[in-house]
Parts: sequence; C-alpha cells; structure tokens
Amino acid sequence: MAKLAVWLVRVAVGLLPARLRGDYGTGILGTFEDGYSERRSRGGVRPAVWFTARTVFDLLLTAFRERRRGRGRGHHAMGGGLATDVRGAVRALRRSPGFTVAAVLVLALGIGVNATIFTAVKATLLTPLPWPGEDRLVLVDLVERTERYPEGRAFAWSLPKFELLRSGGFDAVDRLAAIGSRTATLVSGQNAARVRLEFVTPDYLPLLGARPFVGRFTAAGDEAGAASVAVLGYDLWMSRFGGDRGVIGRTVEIESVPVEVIGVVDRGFDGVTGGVDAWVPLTAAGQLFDRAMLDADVHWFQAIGTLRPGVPLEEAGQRLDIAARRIDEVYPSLDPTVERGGAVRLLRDLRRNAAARTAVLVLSGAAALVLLIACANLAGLLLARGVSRRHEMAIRSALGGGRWRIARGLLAESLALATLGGMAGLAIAKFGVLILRAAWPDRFLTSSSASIRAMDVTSLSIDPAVLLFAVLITVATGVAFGILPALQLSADRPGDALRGGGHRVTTGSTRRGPDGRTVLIAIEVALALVLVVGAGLMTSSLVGLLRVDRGFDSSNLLTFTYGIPRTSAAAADPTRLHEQFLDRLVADGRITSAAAACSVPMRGRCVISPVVSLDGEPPFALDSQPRVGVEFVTDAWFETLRVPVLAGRTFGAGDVASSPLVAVINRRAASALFPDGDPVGRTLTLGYGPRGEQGSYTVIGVVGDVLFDRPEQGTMADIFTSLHQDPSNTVSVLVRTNVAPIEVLPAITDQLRAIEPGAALHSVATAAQIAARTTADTRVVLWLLAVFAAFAVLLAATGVWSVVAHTVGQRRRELGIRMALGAPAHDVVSLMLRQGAVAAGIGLLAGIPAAFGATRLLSALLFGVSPADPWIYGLAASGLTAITLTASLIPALQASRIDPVREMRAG
Amino acid sequence: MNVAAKPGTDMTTRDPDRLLPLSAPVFNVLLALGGSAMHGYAIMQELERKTEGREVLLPGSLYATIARMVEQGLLEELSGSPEPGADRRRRYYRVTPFGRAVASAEAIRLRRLVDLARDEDLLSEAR
Repeated sequence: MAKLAVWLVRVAVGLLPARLRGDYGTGILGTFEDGYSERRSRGGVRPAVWFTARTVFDLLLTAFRERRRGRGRGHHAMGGGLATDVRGAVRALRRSPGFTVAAVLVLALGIGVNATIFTAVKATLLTPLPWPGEDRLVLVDLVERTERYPEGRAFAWSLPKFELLRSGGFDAVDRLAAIGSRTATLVSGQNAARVRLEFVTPDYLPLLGARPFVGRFTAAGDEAGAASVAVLGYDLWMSRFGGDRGVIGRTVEIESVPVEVIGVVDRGFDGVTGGVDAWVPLTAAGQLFDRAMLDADVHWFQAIGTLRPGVPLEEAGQRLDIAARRIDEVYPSLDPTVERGGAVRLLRDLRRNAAARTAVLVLSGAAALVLLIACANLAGLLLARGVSRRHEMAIRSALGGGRWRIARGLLAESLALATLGGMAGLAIAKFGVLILRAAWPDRFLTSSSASIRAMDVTSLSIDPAVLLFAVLITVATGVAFGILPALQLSADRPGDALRGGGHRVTTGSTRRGPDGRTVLIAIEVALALVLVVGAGLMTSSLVGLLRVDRGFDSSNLLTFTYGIPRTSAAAADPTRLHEQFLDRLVADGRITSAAAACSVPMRGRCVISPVVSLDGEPPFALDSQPRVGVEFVTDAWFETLRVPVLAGRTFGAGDVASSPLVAVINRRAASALFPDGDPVGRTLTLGYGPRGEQGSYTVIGVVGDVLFDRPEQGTMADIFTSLHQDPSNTVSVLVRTNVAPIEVLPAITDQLRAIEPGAALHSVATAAQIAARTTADTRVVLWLLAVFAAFAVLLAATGVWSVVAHTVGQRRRELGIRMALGAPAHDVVSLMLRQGAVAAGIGLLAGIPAAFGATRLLSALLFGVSPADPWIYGLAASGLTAITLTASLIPALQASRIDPVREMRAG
Repeated sequence: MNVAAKPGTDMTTRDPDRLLPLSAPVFNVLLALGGSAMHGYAIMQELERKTEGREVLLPGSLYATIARMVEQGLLEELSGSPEPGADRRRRYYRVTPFGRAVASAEAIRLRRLVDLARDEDLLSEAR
C-alpha cells in the first residue's frame, strides 16, 4: 500500500517542470513519506490514503501552475479562475463522499482497463525494435517461386551461398550478417544447462549495437580457427558464472566440444531471435553439430543487414534477385520448375505477429467500450445529482453566476473526478500489467512470418507513453461525461427551478419520448451486449478447441527431452541407452509405462517429408508429392499414449536395425495414400526419414490420428518409424504415471544421471501443461473479454437500477396519490418497471446490430463458431434482459410499499 | 523564469516592500519557520500546529513555494543538518535576514489593514 502511494506521488512529481523536479523532487517525496508514515501510524489507513490523494492532487495543480508560470504568461489570466473552479469542485465532491467514491471507482475501472490494454498495444504495435537504425534493418532472404507460390517462399541460406552473396558485389545492403539459432547443452564444470545459441558472423553483434561488457566479440580470425570461441549473454553469465570476470579465457563445453569464452555481451541484449544465451561463430556449427551444416545444400540460417542509404526497398530486392540468380548458376537447383530469387524486407514489418495484433485490437476495442459505458453511467449519475442540485444552481445563477461560469464549475467537478479516477486507474493498471505479463501467451512473442522476436514480455510496462495515454483518456473522459449535465443545468432558467422548489421536478419524463437518462441506459445496455456476445463467442471457441480430439490420453503424462553427448561412449549405440533408461523408469512403481520419440504431441512435428513413391511405382511429380509428418518412436509409444491400433500391429522385438524398414501409419495417412484398400503390407518411400535420408518402409499397421500441432491446425497424415531403425542421440520421453506426474521427476533425473552423467534433461512439462499452452492465446482474450463484459453488465445494471430508483424517489407523492385512489400495488410496480424495460429494450435492439458489426473483428480469433451464432446472441440478449429487469424490479417493488398517507402529509 | 529580472535577487536594490503583498503560502512558510531551521515536513507540521490546522501546505505547493522563496532570497538552504545524526536526505531551510525584513513588512501592512477593519467595528461583529 505504502509502495503504491509512493509510486503514485512519484508519477505526479514526474509531471512537475524539470527544474522544480530536479531541485526539489526528492524533497517532495521525502516530505510525503514522512507525512504518510506519520498518518499511517497515528490514524491508520484512511488518513494515509486521504493524504496521498490530496498530495497527488496538489502536485497536479502545482505542476499546472508552475508550467504556466514557466511559460511566462500572465498567470492571472485564467489561473485564478481555474483555481477557484478546482477548489469549488473539490469542496462539492467532499460534500457527497458516497457519490464521489462510486464515481471514482467506476472511472478507475474504465481508465485502469484502458491503460492496461494500452501497454499491450504499445508493446505489440508501437514500440520500435530495440536496435539502432531499426528503420533500415532488413532481412535478406532467398526465395523460391513456383507455380503454387508465385510470390515466392523464403528459405534459409547455406554457408557457401551466403559467402557468394557477400563476395559477389551485392551492395544494396551494408554489413550483411548471418544468424542461425539452435539450442545446445553447455557444460561448465559439473554444471550442465540447456542454452539457446545464435550462430553468427562477426558483423552481427556490432550491427545491432551490442557492446561487450567484459572481453571482446568474435573477429574475422575466429571463424577460421580450429578451436571455437563463444560470447556469453549477460544473464547466462550472471546465473551460471556468478558474474565472474575470470570467465574470459576459460573453456566450457558446448555439445561436448571445448569452446573458449572470449567475452560477455552487455546487459539487455538477447539477439534478434530473442532469449539467446550465447553467441558462437557461424562456422562453429560444423564442429558443434554437423559437418554437413557447412554444405551448399544445407540451408539453415537467416541474413540481416542495413539497407544502404538512398536505396529504396524494391530496388534492393531487384538487386538481390540478380545476385540470387548468379548464386543459382553456381549451385543449380535440382528442380527446374523452381525459380530462385531474393526478397529484402524490413525487420520492423516482419516482427508483426498477426494473432497478437488482432487480439490486441479486439481487446483495446473492448476496453474502449468499457470506458464508454463507464462514461454513460457517470453521466447518468451526474444528471440525477444535477436534478437534485438544480436549486443550488438556480441560486448561483440568480446571484449573478454566468451560465459559462456555472458550466465551467460543473466541468471542473467532472474533471476533478476524472483525475482522481485516473490516478486510481493507474494503480489498477499497475496490477493489470502484472496479470497481463503472466498471462501473455508465448505465441505472441515471436513474429508470425520470420523467426525473429516480435516483442519482449517486459515491454508490457507503464512508461511515459502509457502515462500520457492515461492523462489523455482521463481528460477526455472528464469532458465526455461532464458536458451533458453541464449543458443541461446551465441552460435551466433559474426562476423555474426556484419556484419549483426542487421538489416536483421530473427531468422531462413528463415530456413525450425518452429523456436523457433513458438514452444513456440504452447506450450502456447496447454496449454491454456487444461485450457479452464477444465473451460468449470466445467461450464457445475455447470449448471448441478443448473438444478437438487429441487422439491420445493426456492425463498423468510427463514429457521431457534429453540428449546423449556425442563424445559419450553410449553415443555409439544410443538406442540401447534409451531402452535401458526407459526400462529403469518402468521399474519405478509409480510409472506405468514410458516411451521415447522424436517430438511431443501438441508441440509440433519432428519432420515433414514428401512421399516420393508408393509400392515401388513411378515417383510422384515433384509438385504433387503428398506431404506427411514423420516421427520415430519406441515400441511402447502407442501403448503409453493410449493410441488405438486400428489394423495390423505396432513395432515389436523383431523390428531391429538389421531387419527390413517398417512403418506404422495413422488413419489419415491410410486414407490419403492408400484410398483403395488395406495399407498393411504395402510400401512407401519417404523423401527423408527422421535422419534425413530417403528410405522405403513397409506398412505394418494403422493407428488413430494424434494431434501434433495446435488444435485449430488439426491432424495430418503421419508416418511412424522405429527408433531401432532410425537411431537418434536426442529423444523426447513420455512417461505415464499413476501419481501426480511432477512427483516422479526427481527419480527420473537421478536415473538419467546414473546412466549418462553428461545428458541434460530439459523441456519438462506435463501433457496437460502443453495442452494448456496451445489455447493460451484464446484464453487470455477470453478472460479479459469476460472481465470486461462483467464490468459492463454490472455498470449497465446499476445504471438501470439508479434510473428506476430515482424515478420512484421523485414520484413518491404521485404514486402515493395513485395508491390512495385505489391503484393496485402491481400496477404501480409495473409502471415503474416499464421505465427500466423501455431503456433496456431500446439498448438490446440497438446492441444486436452493433454486436454483429463489432464481432466481425473477432472472427480471426474464433474457432468452430460463427461470429453471427444465433444461440450466443439469444443467450446474451436474454441474460441481459433478465439482469436489467431484476435491477429495475428492486426499486420498483419499493414503490409498492409507499405509504400513501405519509406521502400526502409530507406533500 | 528570468532570474536576473526579479526584484530581490539583485543584491543592491533589495526593497522588502517591492515583494508585497505576499501570497498566503509564502507568508505561511515565513511564519512557520520563524527563527529556526527546518526540513520540509517540519515546516508542514509547524504551520498546521501554529494555525491549528486552518492553513495547510501539501508537499507539492510547499516546495514550489520554497523554490520561489529561495530564488527571491527569502530563504536559504543550510549546507548541513542542524541536528546531528539526522536523516541525510533531508534538506534544511531558514529565513534570511532579507526574508525576515519582508515578513515584518508584510505583518505591518496587514496590521494597518486590521486597524482599519477595527475602526469599522468589523472585529467586534465577528466576535
């Protein structure tokens, strides 16, 4: 609480002119802290909070006054009037604390929600990339243009092709640098860790403005050298090496290869691909992973550079086209139908994430609706209050207060309210941002069109831009909800109000047609309907996503990945070690079965390969090869995941390295590849199996479809091969337990260490967690929309309630007379109910088309539900009807309990 | 703000009367400080105590006032803390001789006004 108060005051101090802030800022804060802690210890929370609010308000006024003074204008011109207005406003608000608290709460919600969502808008759409010259940083791609993709599909560079580009006179882009990212195991002493590497050329780090914190960066000489070198990221250096400067010159092992640490990059830099722990020279990939990574036909990294000044983007692309054709002459494509070219695209355009963008736009729209409803609600409250203050206004007017003067006073009141609401809203946003950070889906962090990072989750924060936004919406809000009541009241003729004595006034309900408040309520109900329909559609989408058949049982399933170092003796026969490890796991009574595979369901496939031919028939044409997912598995995989076997068998003890290659296919592969009959016993030839080589497999069985991707992507044709026939050092293990899966993790780690000390276990997750991650983006939008819709409904309901309650209050005497004349109670109730019902009815009628238009924005986020789903509209409309009727029923019932005798006497 | 053009900062022509009438916050700070040196929060407390809570200066207005008074030569900041062992972040202020002269000029001006009011019997009515 105290922290929050100090933070608020610090924000307000930030608004003071620089000189005052610089000389006296700490003094002001210190004085505030003294005052706060004294009030807190002497009087408790309330005086402390009140002191905070007054201090903040005083600071805002001071900032305003000092800035005027600083500009050298006569500060009497308007300042005096303004100060009077503000003082009057504060006095008026203090007189009705109930109203003030309610209004500030409503505003705080509206402004807080908008400030929170604005941090996401800023982080995803407005924040520039964090590197110098980001407006000229480009991604330089090779592209393949085929009949199917006339626009061209980008593909990665291989080292010889990249060197040809650098030496070949392509001068539209300066400082070309390569980046290829991989994860690897880094061992330092007894300490093994999984790290993200970027393989880069020496130009890369300087190009992005990174500076060494300790030591140096790679130079051209490091590329050719026999021993590898590495530059560590600041965070890795701190967490694994305790920030020890002596690490320079020390040797660590990356993928079991000794590597010398030559430098540490400055804090805050973590690479174009994001979250990078260490950088190694591009050419080291040959040593660390595979010699083949240096070959001309192994395309695995991207290239970036700075667009040369004066060269337009299109021209750079055309020049790259020419360079690419020259490369194609040296390294001709195997497929003559493919045309090779190049594409140069700005990084800032590429980092957009389409899903995040849609989500953020939808959420900011929804947040704006919440604020609009809050404004309508407050305008209603002010109107109601205005009616009871007509007398006061009339006196002021009769005493010579000009109309403008009175309107200004009222406006000052709403601005004062908005300011308090804005400050409280910022406090809400401070918590909102924490929630947003925790819930922000990983999928929104990377670009959807290239493997570069789109945003950093820590950029979801309250900074000066967010503060400015909050100030702007605060002022806009204050004017928006204040203007209508101010106009209405200042337009009154004082004589009428004074003669009326402020008693029999009925705010135009005697006139024909709906009055101002009815219109406001209708607006609230209409906007609330839009939000409720949106939340309903997202709920339906989430239900749809959860209902997608995953093809396996995800309960009590733990998954993790490990690799055997290449230098280990076990690497000679990795499958034997994997089998030993799995046997030891199953010996643990808490583990019912365990299997290994190339990847984990719902996390993406291992390999996607073309099918070259079937049954030894002539091969498919290159552009009509069916594409299938390929996955190597151990024998127990199908049993562990509980995937049904539909025909034939799965792998058994007889399927070993020396026996003929066999494959199990899923239902979709069976119907796509062998539509005419039983696939068991037929053969298929894969373009590349799990190890990247072409091979012919005999089908031995058919199993059910398993979901390897995100639920909305669905299943595809999959081919399973045996780990015995396609060995691999690295495997992902799936363990079925009869206890909570995470409980067995320590035992698993011990077993792995006992059997292979050099193996690092990583990517630990339960299947339930993985499944949850695949719906994270839907859930974050759904939850926020649901919260917004709940606010909206609450505000609309209180709006309806207050209109009816107010009318009942104003017409007590009339109702009393009616009842005295024999009107039955239910007549009186329905008379009062009608007012709420009319307002809500108009709102619903207007809300349905509004929702219809607004939810079309949402359609990109929906799954398995139409944006015009009649059920959801029906449910939302009837739900809102029920709520608004209940809200008007409570005060309407009070009308029936009016005592006619008392009312007549009071009159 | 153009400091050189302000009266009072020019050391040779400092005429207390040129700053009159004082604004309420400035006079309040002069009264709260009296002859002693205080830090910001103490000035706030002292003012509240002396006026029995009728006059309040919140931190923002207080320091805006202090800033102006230092500029006009009414206050000066002490280089160290008068109380040994006090919080080092705290900055202490005291009234300069010129400040005292201005306060006294303002008090005399006010007394003349109050005398007039008394002649008009306003004070007895208020009672």
